[in-house]
Amino acid sequence: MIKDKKDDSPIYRLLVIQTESLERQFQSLMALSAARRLYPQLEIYFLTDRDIAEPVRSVSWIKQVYEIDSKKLIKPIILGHLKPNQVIGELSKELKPVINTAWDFIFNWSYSKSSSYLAALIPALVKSGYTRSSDDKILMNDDWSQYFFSVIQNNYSQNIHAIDILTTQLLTTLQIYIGESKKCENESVTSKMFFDKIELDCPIVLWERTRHWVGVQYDHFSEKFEFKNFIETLLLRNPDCSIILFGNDKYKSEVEKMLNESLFDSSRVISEVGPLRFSRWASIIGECSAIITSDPKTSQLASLLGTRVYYFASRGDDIFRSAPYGNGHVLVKGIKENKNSPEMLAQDVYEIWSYYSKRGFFKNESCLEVLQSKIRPLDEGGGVVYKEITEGVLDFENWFSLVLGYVVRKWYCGWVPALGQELHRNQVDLKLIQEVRKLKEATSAFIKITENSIKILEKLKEKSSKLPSESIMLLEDRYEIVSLNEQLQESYLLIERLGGVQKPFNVLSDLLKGMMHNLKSDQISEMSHEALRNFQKLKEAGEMIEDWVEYTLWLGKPQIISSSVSIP
Amino acid sequence: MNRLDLQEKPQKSEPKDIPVETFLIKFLEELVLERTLQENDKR
Repeated sequence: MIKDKKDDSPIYRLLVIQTESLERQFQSLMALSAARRLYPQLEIYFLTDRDIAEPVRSVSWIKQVYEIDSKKLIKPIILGHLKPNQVIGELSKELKPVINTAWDFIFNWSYSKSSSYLAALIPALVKSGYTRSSDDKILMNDDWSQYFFSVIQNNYSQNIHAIDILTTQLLTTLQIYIGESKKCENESVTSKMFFDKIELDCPIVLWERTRHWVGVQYDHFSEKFEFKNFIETLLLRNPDCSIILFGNDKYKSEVEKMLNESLFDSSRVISEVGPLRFSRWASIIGECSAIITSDPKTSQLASLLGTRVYYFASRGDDIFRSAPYGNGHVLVKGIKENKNSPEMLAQDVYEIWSYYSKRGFFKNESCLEVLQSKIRPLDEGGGVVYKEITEGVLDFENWFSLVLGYVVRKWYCGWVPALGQELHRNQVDLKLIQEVRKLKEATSAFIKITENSIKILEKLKEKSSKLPSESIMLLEDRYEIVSLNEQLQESYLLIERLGGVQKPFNVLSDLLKGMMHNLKSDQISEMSHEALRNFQKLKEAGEMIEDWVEYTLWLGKPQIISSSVSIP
Repeated sequence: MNRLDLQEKPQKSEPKDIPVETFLIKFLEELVLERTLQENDKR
């Protein structure tokens, strides 16, 4: 912490390490944007890869951007010309200013093994995200990093958006160390001028800006439907709209050919397909009233700029890391797997756009899954959710995502919305009821295992706290400690086995591993105290699952209809 | 989503006895591995 020269107030230096990708960069900026409004005494710095540094360089409130030229550093290693130890001199030079600074906070939001070494090398009072101990063990000091490690990186189905995780992790840490934030009522974190250091570079001429420009990214998803039909329909039925196309360089000739063969009004269709500088890309997206894309980078950038996104998710896409964030974005799933004709899909893509932008008609003949994003009020759980036009029936995986979200918010944030806020009767069908019933018995077994583990740990804690020394003890004390430890290992195995029968317990088993891996002490008495708290958390999770099971089964029961209701 | 459990203060962490040279090498080795995997995924 340093002092402000003007009024002697404290200034906190915060470094974000984000070397992974542009979409993570945009997500980090969204979280930081919320924090800087609440904590104006923060000075925010960024350590990133030179290849993806331009967006953070374009934000005036980022005090300084440190860059690692990883491509240049690792190229000779990949080619076999140099060994890593011959490159560390160059790397040290790049890292020197970061390592020599006194940091208050480091947030390593890269969530990669490599970045954990960077976080370990840089001194700071508080570190979040992955780091390393001096004996090379990967460490996660906070709950959300453990959640990232155990749940997200193991690809478990879950329903908390990456931006919500980063924001909560950041604000929680700041609240602990700096204190209550300044009041900030409903101030938006998104802005058309988010990247306030870039010069606007938009191909749309000034007098054309009154029109509605729809940005369409020509990409692999565009190949699935009849793209030309889509553009023709949009232009024909919406005389106030124009289209700007952009996308990867490899589609440039294909798009040019399509435009040359078509009879589109050239003043209403602009092609920017091909390589774009960041300033031009951001200017185009900021200028459009809506963006149609399947690219997570564009989706996150448009979210930052407050432009509505129609995001077409690819198969295997983790929507809680790639889908647009904010109110009113549209998320479409299932286009890749759809077997309908490209013409019919083009009609549906048009109708989705038309329905949400102009309240047009939407038949959805291709049966696409269409959802709209909404930021929930805090009393309903907070964070972004994606809801269907008509709330459909939940499958078991999505049902458990809701339960898991509820459990971790209770654990890490200390509060949750009332049970039932997130699940409604029309989302429950017979198939879900059958699955939930199967879970009921396993949940009771899970609670019993955790209760038993708690008893073992209480004994272990009591025993170890009475020992005069943890290295020299009576043989019988040692035997008892070893026996208790073996009983605890059996509990671990039982939880793991339960995960083999009921998938939800796999997630809890992995979360437990993450928690136990990050025990902070190396004394038996303190370790058993920490472990005890972890198992209490697990028991609490089991009880919450039990509540959800009961509530869901109750929703599935037939309801008595009042005699005054007439049945047609 | 920003309520707190004030009992859960994370510990202060500062690099003590960090083997700087080893960690710089490990960083580069992991980076090579991650970037190679990313390239393979793209293909």
